[in-house]
Amino acid sequence: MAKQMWMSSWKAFGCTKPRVLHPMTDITEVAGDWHGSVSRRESQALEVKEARHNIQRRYRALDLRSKMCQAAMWLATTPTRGMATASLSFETVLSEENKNNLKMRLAKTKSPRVRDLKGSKPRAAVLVPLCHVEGELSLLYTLRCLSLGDHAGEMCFPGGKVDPEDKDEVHTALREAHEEVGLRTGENVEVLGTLPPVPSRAEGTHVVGVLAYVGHLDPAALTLSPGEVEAIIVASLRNLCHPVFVRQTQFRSTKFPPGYTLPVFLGTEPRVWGLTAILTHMTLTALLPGLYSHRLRLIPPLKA
Amino acid sequence: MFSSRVTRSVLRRGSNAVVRFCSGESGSHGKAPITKVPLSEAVPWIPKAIYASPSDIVHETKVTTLDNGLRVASEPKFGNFCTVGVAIDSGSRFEVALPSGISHFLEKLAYGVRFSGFFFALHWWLYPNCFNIIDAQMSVTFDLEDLQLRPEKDVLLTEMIHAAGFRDNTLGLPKICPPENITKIDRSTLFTYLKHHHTPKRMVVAGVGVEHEALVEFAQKYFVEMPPIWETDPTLSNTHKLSIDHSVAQYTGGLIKEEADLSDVSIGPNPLPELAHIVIGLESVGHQHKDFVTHCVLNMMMGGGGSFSAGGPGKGMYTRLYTNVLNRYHWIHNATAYNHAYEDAGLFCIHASAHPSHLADLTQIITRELSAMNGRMSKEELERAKVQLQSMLLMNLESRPVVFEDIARQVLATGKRLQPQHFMDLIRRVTDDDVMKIAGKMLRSRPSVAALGTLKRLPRQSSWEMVGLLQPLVDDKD
Repeated sequence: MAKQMWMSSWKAFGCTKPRVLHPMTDITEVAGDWHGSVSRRESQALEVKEARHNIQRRYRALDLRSKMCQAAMWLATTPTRGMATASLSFETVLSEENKNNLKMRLAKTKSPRVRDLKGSKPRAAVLVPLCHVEGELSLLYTLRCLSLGDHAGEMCFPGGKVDPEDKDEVHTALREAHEEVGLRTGENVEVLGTLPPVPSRAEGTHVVGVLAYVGHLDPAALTLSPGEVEAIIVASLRNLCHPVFVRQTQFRSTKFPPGYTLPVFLGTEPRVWGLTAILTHMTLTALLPGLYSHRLRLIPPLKA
Repeated sequence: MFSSRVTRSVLRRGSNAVVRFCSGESGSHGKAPITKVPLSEAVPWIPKAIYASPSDIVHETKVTTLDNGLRVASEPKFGNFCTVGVAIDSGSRFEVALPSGISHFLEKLAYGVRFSGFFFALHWWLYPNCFNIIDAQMSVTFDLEDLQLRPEKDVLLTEMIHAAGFRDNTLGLPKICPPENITKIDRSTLFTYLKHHHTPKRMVVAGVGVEHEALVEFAQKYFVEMPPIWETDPTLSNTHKLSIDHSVAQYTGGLIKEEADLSDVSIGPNPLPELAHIVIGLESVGHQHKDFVTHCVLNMMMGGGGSFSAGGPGKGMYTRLYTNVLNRYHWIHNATAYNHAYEDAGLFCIHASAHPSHLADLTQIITRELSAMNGRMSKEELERAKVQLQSMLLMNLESRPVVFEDIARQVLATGKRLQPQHFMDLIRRVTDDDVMKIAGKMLRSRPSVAALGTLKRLPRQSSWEMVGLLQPLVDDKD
């Protein structure tokens, strides 16, 4: 019954009903694999898996000292799903242990090294809302209205400019989220941490992401601010972490040589890219070690 | 088809003989002359014709993967000729960390090449053992000069609209070598590129009208057993390891303007009109997407061309850009719709040109047409577009080089080739709701604009929302 509900809401593109995507059954529709052939993305994901298996095989036939290293290597390279104790699963993301580890990892997360951001105050704050929708742990995105000048029609997190009266970025993020999508701020919202600032397109500004768990949500019950938010799109963490959907794009840049690499998440319609994708990537890296292991690679320019 | 020996000998004597034979003159076979045989009767002495019937055998493309990852694909086709070639997943989209223009150089260096497209290039693979880099640089320089001198600006405009739509990434990287890179590209850069991108896993050897086993044997002999010279001679290429760019193309939208004085573009004695060119593009889908065929139908429906094209009725003159634009405004020189589709992204654009003084009106008319794609269409219009697309597909696939290219592209992209019948079915199933839905989705994307010529009358960015696009085009701050 629930499956039919979200499948029908997925098919009705363009309506304002929020959608939850479950990659385990939805992949062929979303990944465009409809010809029935193995697309290159899937074969790349399989190559990654193969490479991991090859590494493990290589270390098998060594002496005892190496066997100890081998054990460490095995633990490091085996997919953590299905392993018994110390690894993370989607159900244990909000456990105390993971939350403490999250604080540690957020402290170590570095801003994209595009500009020197020390000393400049953040101009905008967004809320990265972790929520339970239909039992799946997901992130909540808003689809910006087309009439907005900047980033119109793109996927975004709820948030906005820092007001002078705001105490700190957390306050801004929660206030904006309440204004844009009617998210009730109170005891049910648990702030898990703050992401390091990320430079935005405009000169001299940067955006701070506030990661918070907002409990069980029914996206249909949220009130959207007209003129700002066109729709709410919910993407489950499982969908966002799926290797077929996580890709990257390398850009050339004259302003920030030698260029930069941005992550892109193809599991939602429209895709998550740009600043929102950077924030998503930083969140998933800090929140889901082992489950999300995508690293951004920048190909350095060829030296003569 | 006449099969009797007598008639064959008659045919050898020439057509006059045939006529005389058929008319029964000079009492051949002792029969009465043909003029005495009533029309209600068959002529008794002419043998029955045996007509060819369509074959019931469906030819499937056979694909074999060799040990080094090279794929060999072939399809049999009736006739005495065959088309064989190699398709390589190579092109300007992989040059993000390399100096742009390597693909342009490779196009000039390889023999008998036909350059086609951003994401792969067709080559005859015999590379000469010694490159003459100076000749290649001269050849590229001449090509650039030629492009500037030519009155047709479509190559430059295609380059500009891709750069505008996919800013600074994959498909937006220049296909034509920028002048400052001509001296930067040397032999070792080229070999480094070749070594990493022209690997067997990224190649398909395809043949049409050949026997599959023979092609596999030759591919084994020349592509597997003979290593390329950059493997046997490691000094040729750069020792640095180059990673291959697996970036997914990101549509950004944006504006690229080039002021140029096009008042005197004619290279002959007769003057050509001065034109300003504008291309307005929207985000389309890649060729593996489920809505790709619908975009092609939409492209057919928009159609368009030059205002002086000698086709006459029936040559696409009922498409929207003809009936709504070219037939109504005589001062528009051409308005053509294109749908560029790549593996993971696409660009739908309309190219129009007129005298620079009309640029504001031209922009408004084109954006009005783009907005109208989302509106109602008549059943007749849609059916015409679908049938036109189907017939274009089948007519093109009658020629061997086109079949070769189709096989090569499909096997390179997906590993197998879908037969034309599959696409005919997909085209038949397109409905007007589908077209309206994808048009609506396209109109939500940020428009990309390329403009070339005297651009004083180009509407300023802030006023684009007045010309009917759903999304205003805001000045790039990047």
